[in-house]
Order: sequence, then structure tokens, then C-alpha cells
Amino acid sequence: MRAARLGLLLGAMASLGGAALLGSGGVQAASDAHSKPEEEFRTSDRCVACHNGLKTSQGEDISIGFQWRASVMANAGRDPYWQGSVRRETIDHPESSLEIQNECSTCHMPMQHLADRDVGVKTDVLSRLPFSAEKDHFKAYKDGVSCSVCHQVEAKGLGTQETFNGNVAVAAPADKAHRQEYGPFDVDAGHQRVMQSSTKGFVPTEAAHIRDSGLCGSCHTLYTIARGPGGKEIGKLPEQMPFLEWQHSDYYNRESCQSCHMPEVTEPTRITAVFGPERTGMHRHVFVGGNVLLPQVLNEHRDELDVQALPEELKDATDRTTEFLKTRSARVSIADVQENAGDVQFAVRVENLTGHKLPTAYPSRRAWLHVVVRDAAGKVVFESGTLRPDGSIAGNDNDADPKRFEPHYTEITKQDQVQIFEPILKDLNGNVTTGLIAAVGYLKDNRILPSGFDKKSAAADVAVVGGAAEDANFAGGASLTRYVVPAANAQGPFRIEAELWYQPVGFRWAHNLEPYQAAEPQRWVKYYEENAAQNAVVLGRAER
Amino acid sequence: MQRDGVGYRRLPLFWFVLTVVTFSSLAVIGQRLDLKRKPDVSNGKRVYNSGCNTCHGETGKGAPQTSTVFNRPNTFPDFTVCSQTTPEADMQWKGVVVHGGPYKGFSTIMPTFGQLLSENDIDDVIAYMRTFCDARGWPRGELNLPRALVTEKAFPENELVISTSANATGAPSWETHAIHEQAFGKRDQLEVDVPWVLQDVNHSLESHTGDMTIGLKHVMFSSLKTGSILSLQGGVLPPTGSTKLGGAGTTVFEPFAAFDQLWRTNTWVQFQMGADLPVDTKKSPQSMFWYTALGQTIAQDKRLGRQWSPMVEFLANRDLVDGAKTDWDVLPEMQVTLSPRQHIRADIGVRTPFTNTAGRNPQVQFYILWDWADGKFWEGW
Repeated sequence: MRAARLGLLLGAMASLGGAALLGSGGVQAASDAHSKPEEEFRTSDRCVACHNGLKTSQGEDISIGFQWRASVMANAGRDPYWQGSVRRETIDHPESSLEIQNECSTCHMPMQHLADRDVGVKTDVLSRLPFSAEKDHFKAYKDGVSCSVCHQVEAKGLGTQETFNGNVAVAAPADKAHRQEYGPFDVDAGHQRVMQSSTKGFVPTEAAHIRDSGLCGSCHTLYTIARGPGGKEIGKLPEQMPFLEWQHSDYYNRESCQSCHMPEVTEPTRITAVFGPERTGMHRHVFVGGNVLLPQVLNEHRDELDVQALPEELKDATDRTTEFLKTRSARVSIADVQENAGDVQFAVRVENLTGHKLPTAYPSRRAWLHVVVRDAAGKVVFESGTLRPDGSIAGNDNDADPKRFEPHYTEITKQDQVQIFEPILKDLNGNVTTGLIAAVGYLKDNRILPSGFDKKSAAADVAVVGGAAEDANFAGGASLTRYVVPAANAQGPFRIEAELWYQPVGFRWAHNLEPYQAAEPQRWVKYYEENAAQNAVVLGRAER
Repeated sequence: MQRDGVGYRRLPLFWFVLTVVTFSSLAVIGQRLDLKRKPDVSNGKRVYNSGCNTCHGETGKGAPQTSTVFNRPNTFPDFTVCSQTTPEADMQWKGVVVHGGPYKGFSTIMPTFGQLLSENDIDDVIAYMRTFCDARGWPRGELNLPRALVTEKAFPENELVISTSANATGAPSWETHAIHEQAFGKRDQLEVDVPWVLQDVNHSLESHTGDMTIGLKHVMFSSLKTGSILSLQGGVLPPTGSTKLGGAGTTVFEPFAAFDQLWRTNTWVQFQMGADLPVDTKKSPQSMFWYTALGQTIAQDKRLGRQWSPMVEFLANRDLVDGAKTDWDVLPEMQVTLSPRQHIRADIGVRTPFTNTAGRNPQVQFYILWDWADGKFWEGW
């Protein structure tokens, strides 16, 4: 006991020292001396041994532990982009360093954060970096959105402002030896005892709210506090709103977050390898989404990032995400083709197949149209939206100059015009920024709307911003862009190819970290450059 | 049998203890040598592969670390290593399966299965797990009977024992033995016994190392089915002790045989018979000894928990010289497991001379035992 207390004291001193080394004058480092995440939560190593070794009758491995640990959720704290971004924001806003770290840790280091929150302590992130294998693998702060975070969230306030920004209520302990761990199934007393004994107190308890979209919406509705000089609060940025976008779509009444991002197993299957009975309606814990880059980076830099998932699991996660993006996110079509004497005219329609904006969530994500027109001989007479090897898009003003950006186009007539579906942030002075804490709103948000999304009745937090707001061809479910391609010197018939490309991290969102001379931003830029060529997926394509 | 005054007076006590022990043996159902039903190994395999293999692997060596993930404690078992598994009785395993790892001081990651699996399933799965050690000839832990204060058992052990005897009456005298036993191979054990003597000599306390013992034990026969185990040990005692404090003054060879018998009721008897054969019989006479320990182990919590082992030893020594008489002592005692893992045990008793009592005082005897192969001293509590 004395040794444990001494360890906590030293840990607290290390935290203080680490924060002091940041050179972020005025930062009061948080101490975890009084928070005990190990009492409130269990790290995943307590869970996955029993919830592995699960297969369908077709041999598909649906092991909860294997699939989760390769997911973005499990690696939320390990994400080098997130780490780089936190460092950047604390350099930009040194007077608010601890508040920023605390804010970001809410969803990326939730076990540590929630335990700190519950004792009134702010969570420091940077003193815990870099993660390394030498440190205990199963420290709460490393374990991302771990099993006992989601499965302990109470139903109270889910889906409302009360729980947004990760401000969830964690189940209170029934007594010293028992905590409720919510799941969708009724568990018999024998299995309850098995889990309670092996996890030192966590009792599986049936609760329907574990399948409530509001559970996901708690972290996936994120408002960022905008700060000005001296750390003064100057606004609130609706930074990530997929849950509210979903609520404003017609998916709200037909599909939950889990139904797409945790696909259901369509046959009875075990959910535990330890004498588990067969269950109907298990959902895979793949948390498949739009971040196709992270599993690649984690796999390539396993030691540096202290990665737990195995290479093949991360490869599977990458493949799964790619496939998900290619088949479940968009449909592209070409319509109204007219070959005139001096030009070729047509429209490219992109249908959003998701239940939220496309792309959604973190504003580094962008989708864009790559359109090529060839003449009868196959020669390219027009091309817009070419992806360069460095991850930039030819013709995109923002990639060329961080102060500019491409507007939303209703009609494209030149090759240096690119239809990019993206959010562009603005700071207090109305300038383009990728600084989340500096941002107070949007200069542009023409991310493709989900079906049923009425942009006129949409709340300000999910509003369409910029030219798309007035574009009659930009509506719930789809966006239509007209192309008028000069072709005076070319001979038809013309061949049109249209592709919708997607990047989880746009060029500017990576390279804007370059000026920050700290390990995490520099490391991320290096990783980005290494993967620039693979950091994009074609979501849909059409030819005519 | 000579019955001097003191011994005669203690005869009723002897018979009382013997009667209590004997009848308690019959009345209390302790660990059983044989189960009520023969375990179904094929069902045990089914049970094992329905859950246990998740962590322990299909072969019993342990599932890959990458799939179990948790940091493995140093006690994480490899069931194929016979030297680790055979010294443990089924009831030790059963306690862990029924009540989880902490019940025996192991990791909390090992769950409690007592409410999920039937008793038959648990017995069956233990029987199946026994098949992972496919080598024959290892004495089974059931035959590792409670160590008596004097009588040596037949089972080869990995133990450190600190044993003390002190005069209960008469001149003060303490004799403490530090005994290290180390098993090797399937059936052998090396033993080193270093005594230290503290005695009142003419109203002055004097101390000295006693005659050390270095012994080698070999199990000649063991059978779980019959509950029997027989060992032979050869020992040598170099004259490291002070003759003034009881040292032989010459090298002594000490061969003996030990035979232990366990019955279904968990009643048991241990016999040890041997001789002390000095090189120089002028300095120390040859002698024989015949020791018997009769006892019963009673375990709490349906035979899975703390073990109490009341026993009585009957100890006979006789010098092989003309006119010598046999010294008979009786030693009722109680051994108890202290740690949940049962690797720390203590025993206390009173050794009372029964014949030839002149100059031989009753002694209080005590030991504390650490089975170090089962973990560090402070582990397993």
C-alpha cells in the first residue's frame, strides 16, 4: 500500500514536471493523485480474453477483443494525429493548455478523464506522451474508448445536450464488490459470477440503452470551446456533429449508429468463448467508419506508438474500412449529357448513402469529385480534382494556399475548379484556419447531406454554410454539380468519368502542423507524407 | 514396555488423544482418495474445450498471449509440465475452479466457475487436465501428506522448514532445525538439515550448530489408486555439532525407509524406520528408530479450503547396545495450513516421553513450513 501511494506521489510529481517542461507558462498541471480509474473502470485486458475466439458458422472471426483493439475506438489515445493536434493547440493557446488537454482527453482518454472528472481533476495528456511498451500497457489513459467505458454509461441524458461532449454518467457501484456492466443480453447467474469474479466486480447487466444511438452521440457530438487572446472564451464551435446530423435525417427513424458501424451478425453466435450460450443479434465490435488512415499508420509504426493490435488485425481493419467506404457511403451517377459544338455539358450526381453528412465528424475529412473527359481518341480534354502523390488536390486553392479555399460550385467550367465537399473553419477574424480552438464557425460546409436532411430547417450547429446553402441542387440525400467543359478543339463522342474521392485527412490539415517544432506534430507530418498516396479512397464512380 | 511413574500417569492422556483422532477420522469426511464417481474424461475434454481453452490453450500450455492479452502472473500454469502439476492434489485445482484464482492466492483473472459448472463437470475437467502431463511415474500430490513434527514423510518436497523444540520442563533447551528440501526429477529429493542448539549447561546458556544432515530420498513406489507411497533415504551427518550439546562427535550415516498410506476418508498413517550408524561407535552408539504418525485431514469449505490435520506421533528410539531400553514418546499435534494457497503451514505439538522418562523432558515442538515451489512466502495469501 505504501509503495502504491509512493507511486501515485511520484506519478503526480512526474505529471507536474512534464507539464512544466512543455514551456506552456501558466499551465497548472493536473494531478492524478486523487483519481483512481482502476476502481471505476477495467482496462480491456480484463475483458478480451473471454470475448475472443468467436467465429461464425462461415468461419468469420468476430472476436470482440480482436476487432475492437484494431479499431479507431481502441486507439483513440494512441492516434498520432490526435496527439499532434493536441500539442499544436497547446502551443497556440499556452494559457489554456490544461483546459485543452482536459477537453480532448474526454473522448480520447475517457477512462482517465472520467475518473479525473469525478474527483474534480483536469486530465493532462501531454505528460503521458509518448506511449511506450516500457510503461504498463494497460494504463487507463492508453486504453482508448475501452470496454468498460461504453458498457458502464448510464442511460441518463443520452441523446441530449446533457451528455454531449462525452459528459456521460458512469454507473455508480452497487457496492464495493459490484459494478454494473451494461450489455444487450440477459445473462444467467453463473456467467454473471464468472465475469464478476474475473473482472473484480463487474456484473453483466441487461440494458437496452447500450444499443441507443445516443450512447455514441455522447462523444460524437462535440462542441469545442473557442478561445481568443489570454485564453478567453470567445465562442463555441460545433466541431463534430454526426449524431445531430443523423437526428435531422430520415435515418433517425430507421437505422441506429450501431446498425451500420457495428454490423449485426445474422446468425446465433456466442459472445463469450467461456461456456457462452448462443445469442441472436450480436453486433460486431468493428466500429467501422471513415478513418482508413489510422490503422495503416498504427501498423507501420507499431513500436513507436505502442500498438497492441496485431498486424493482421490492423490490416483487416484497413480493408474493412476501405470496403465500407467503397460500398456503403456514396453512389455516383452522370446525367444530362449534352455534346455541343464548343463544349460538353453534363451533371454529376452524388448520392449520400450514410445517415449523416458525407464526410462527417472531424473537419479534416473531405470528399471531392474527380472528373475526366476524354475525346474519341481517348485524349484527356478536361480533368478536375486530380489527386497528387503528396495528398493534395490539383486546383484546390486551400492546398496551395492555407488562406484560401475552394468555394462550393454549382457549375464547373475550368480544370482548376474542384468540387470539394468539406468544412472550412474560420477564426474570429474570418480567416481560414485549421486550429480547432481558434475556430468560431464555418466559412463553408457543403458536406453532402443525408437523406431526409432539410437544410432550411436544420439547426445552426449542422447548417449548410456557403454556396451550397443556396444551391437548389444541393439537398437532402444528394448533390448535383454541373460541368461545362470546353471542347472546341476536340472530337467526340466524349467519354466522361466521374469519381468521388475521399480523404480522412486533407493535405492542409496535415501540413498545417509543419511549423510546430514539437515531436508529435512533426511525427504526424512525417507519417502523413509516407502515406499520402494511400490516404484516399474512391467512394463511388460512374462513366458515360 | 517399561512404565515409570510419569509415563504411567500419562497413559490415559495418550489413549484419549488416540481415541479422539481415530474416531474423528471415521466421523469426518475429508479429502477423498477416490471420488464417488469415476470422472468422465471425455466429458472433461468437452468442458475444457468449451471454455478453459480460451486462456489455457487446447494443449494446456496456455493460449497465445496475443489472444488472452492480460499480463500473465508468474503462476500461470503450463499443464504439460508434470513437475508443476503432479505435486498438486485435485482438491487444490478444484478449489481454484470452483472459487476462482484468489481462493488459493492466485490471479483474480481466473474466474469463479462454481455457479456455472456442475460438480461432475468440474471433476471431469480436472481429470482431463491431468492428461496433459503424459509422463508416468510422478507421485501425485494427494500422497503428499501433512508433514509431522518428527516423522519424515515419503513424498519428495520443495520445502523450507524451520522447526523448533523446547523443553517444557527442566533445564532450558532449544533445538532449531533449518531444513531445506528440494525435489528433482520425478522421484528424488535432496535434503539439508542444519540444526542449532541452545542449551543450559551448568546454568549457563551455550549454543552451537548441531550435526548437519545431508540426505537423498528416492521414491521407490507410489500409487494413487492404493494411496501408498514408499521412499528410501540415505543421509550422512558430519560431526559439525558440539559433543557437549549432543553432537555425535563422529560422522553418522542415517538410512531410513518411509511409507505413507492414505485412506478414502483422508485418514492416513506415516511410518519411518531407520538407523543411525556412526563411523566411530565409541563416540556414539548405533541406534534404531521407528516413528509412526497417525492423522486425519479435515478441510473446510467442502474439502476445498483450509486444512486442519490433527495427528499423533508415536516415536521409538533404541540404542543398539546391550541392556538398552527403548525410548517411547507420544506427540499429539495439529498442523494447519496458514495461507489460502496452502503453501505456508504450521504445526505444533507436545512431545511427551512415555518410557525411560528419566532425564527426558516433555518438549513443545513447532514448525513453520514454506512450500516454495508454490510461490514466494508472501504470495498466495
